[in-house]
Amino acid sequence: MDLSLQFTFNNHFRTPTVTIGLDNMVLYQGDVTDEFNFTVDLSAGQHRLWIEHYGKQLQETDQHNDCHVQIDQIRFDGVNLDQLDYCKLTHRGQFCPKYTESYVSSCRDSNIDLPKYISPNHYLGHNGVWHLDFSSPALLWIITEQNPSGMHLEDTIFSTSSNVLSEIKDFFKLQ
Amino acid sequence: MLDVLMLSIPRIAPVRPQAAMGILKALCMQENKTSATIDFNKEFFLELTKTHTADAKEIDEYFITNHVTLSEQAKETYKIWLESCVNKVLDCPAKILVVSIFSWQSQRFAYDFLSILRELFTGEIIVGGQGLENRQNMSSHWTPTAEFAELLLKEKLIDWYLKGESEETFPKFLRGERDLPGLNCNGVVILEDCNKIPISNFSDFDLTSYQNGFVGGVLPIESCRGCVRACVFCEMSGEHGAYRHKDGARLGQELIHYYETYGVKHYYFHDDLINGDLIDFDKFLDEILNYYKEHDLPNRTFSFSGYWIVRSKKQFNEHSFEKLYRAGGNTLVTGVETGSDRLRKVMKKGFINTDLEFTLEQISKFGMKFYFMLISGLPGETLTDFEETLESLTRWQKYVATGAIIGINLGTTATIEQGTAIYNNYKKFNLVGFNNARPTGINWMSTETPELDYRERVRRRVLVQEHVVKLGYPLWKGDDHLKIILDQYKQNIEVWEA
Repeated sequence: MDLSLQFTFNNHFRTPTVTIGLDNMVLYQGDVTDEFNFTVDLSAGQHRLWIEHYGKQLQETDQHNDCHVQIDQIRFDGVNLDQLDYCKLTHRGQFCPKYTESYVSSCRDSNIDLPKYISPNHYLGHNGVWHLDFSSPALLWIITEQNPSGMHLEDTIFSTSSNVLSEIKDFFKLQ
Repeated sequence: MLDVLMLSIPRIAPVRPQAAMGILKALCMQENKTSATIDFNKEFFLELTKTHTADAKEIDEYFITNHVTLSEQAKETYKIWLESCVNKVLDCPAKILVVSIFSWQSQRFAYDFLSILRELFTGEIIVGGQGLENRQNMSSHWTPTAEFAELLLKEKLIDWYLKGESEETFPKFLRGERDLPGLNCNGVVILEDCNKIPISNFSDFDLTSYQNGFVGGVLPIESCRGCVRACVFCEMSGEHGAYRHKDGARLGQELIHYYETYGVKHYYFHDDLINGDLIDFDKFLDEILNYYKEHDLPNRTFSFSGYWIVRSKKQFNEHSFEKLYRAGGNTLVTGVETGSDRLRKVMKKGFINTDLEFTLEQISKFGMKFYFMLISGLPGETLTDFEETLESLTRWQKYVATGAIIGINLGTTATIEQGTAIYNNYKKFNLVGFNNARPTGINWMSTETPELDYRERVRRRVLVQEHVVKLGYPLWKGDDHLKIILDQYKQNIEVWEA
């Protein structure tokens, strides 16, 4: 699968650092850049793409600047996962922040319950891991999840069904 | 009493009014004849299928398969519905009844309906349309004999059939002339100048009542007759007459007229191709774009779809696609036929996969749509050609994922039709028939590829279907086509089992 990721980020303090991975594979670790491209061999089945924002220090936020990474676009095999306004697949991704102790306690003091994960979310402000579960082959996953053609041919004059196919296969002994 | 009552009958997709009805209505108006139209096709698909779903499904299958007979219950439903259709006609007394037989799929209804109506209707009954001919993939306009029409005439179910392009003959018929080319006689009647096709009149139709998903409905429109290409398996090249097209600016004005008259913004070209003449196609796009500019309308106020031939990047470049997009280009429908460049060259399709993939890239880039046809078991198709087709489909899957490909149509396997180059020059294409008959319909073999018998063609057709379904292609009419494949075999079973 060809995987392409585009980011924007704030480098006021320093260039944020990320680890990009697929399942147990680390594809990249280090300073974030605008774009990453990978080609990976994936077996058929379920997989997880993950992006970890790490190394952010407490002091790397001021009134105007926050050390962060923002996911702008993810493409699987050249197809933008957010190509359809009504079905943006990156919105299924979950960001699990690793809150700092001081942040947790200040929220506790203010009676704010912190969520275990944030979704949809493209802004990796806290350190933490964003992940998206998908299945391979990726193009079929996109087609199945988004139905980009918008077609619903079932029960129409244009339909295709497996039973008529089976009938033909039986008749011509094509099993 | 009306002068003319026109009927649109099943079986056509109920997505817009039938184009012929709009032309015939305009011709009636031109001759100062009163007229009305009833759309039984729409009634069947949008009403009967809802009130009698199971029976209607059975009846629909009966329309397209010769070996199917109706169950008692469906027979009863069909009878009651036919009688209601007959009563509707009798409730609109007319001097002339025109029945448009759009294709062979309309023949069963036409026969059953006329069998009841004939004795009760006192006016003249005339039929026309491509379905006057019995063979499935042929147009009656061009075949030597209008066999189905002859049958109706012989059984006295009609008074007249009018064969060929009738823009010049139908008005004369309305004036009372009965000695006309194509009237109860065979032969080819061609309209030499496409600019003589009248602007259609759709005032009889509730344009928003069709099932197409477009707000305000869709209207049919026509840019040409005939085709610029000469694909060897297609009868259009040999028999549809020379390519004739409307002036591009006039065509643009026609579309604008429909918009200003009916408020419709969406159009479907029901001709052989919309980009046959690139100079006039460009004039058409300019006319539309100028209209937007003059009326302060945004790009893509209109949308239009239709048959398209794949051009090379040199002929139709990125700028051309951008212009097409701005004018309102929507779904382009193309006969891709195979994924093998070698076989496509033999078939004289005039393009290669590189051209097609450039087209798909541009369609994808501009958010337009593509619907295409493939033919399994083309004469001379080797296993390597077939495998290339499967590989190409895998390669094009990304355009399904981008939403550019909105449909694939796998058809009913290759047939040899009268009027085609492979029919006329079958020896050159290494084709043989059976029992000393020339190769025709499904009854052919290629000495070049002796393994490609009907069963093998069906096997490949089935494999392609399984492949595209697995890849997530939106496959259209798969059930229809497989039923027809089976029906064709059953009709020719003696030939193949011998």
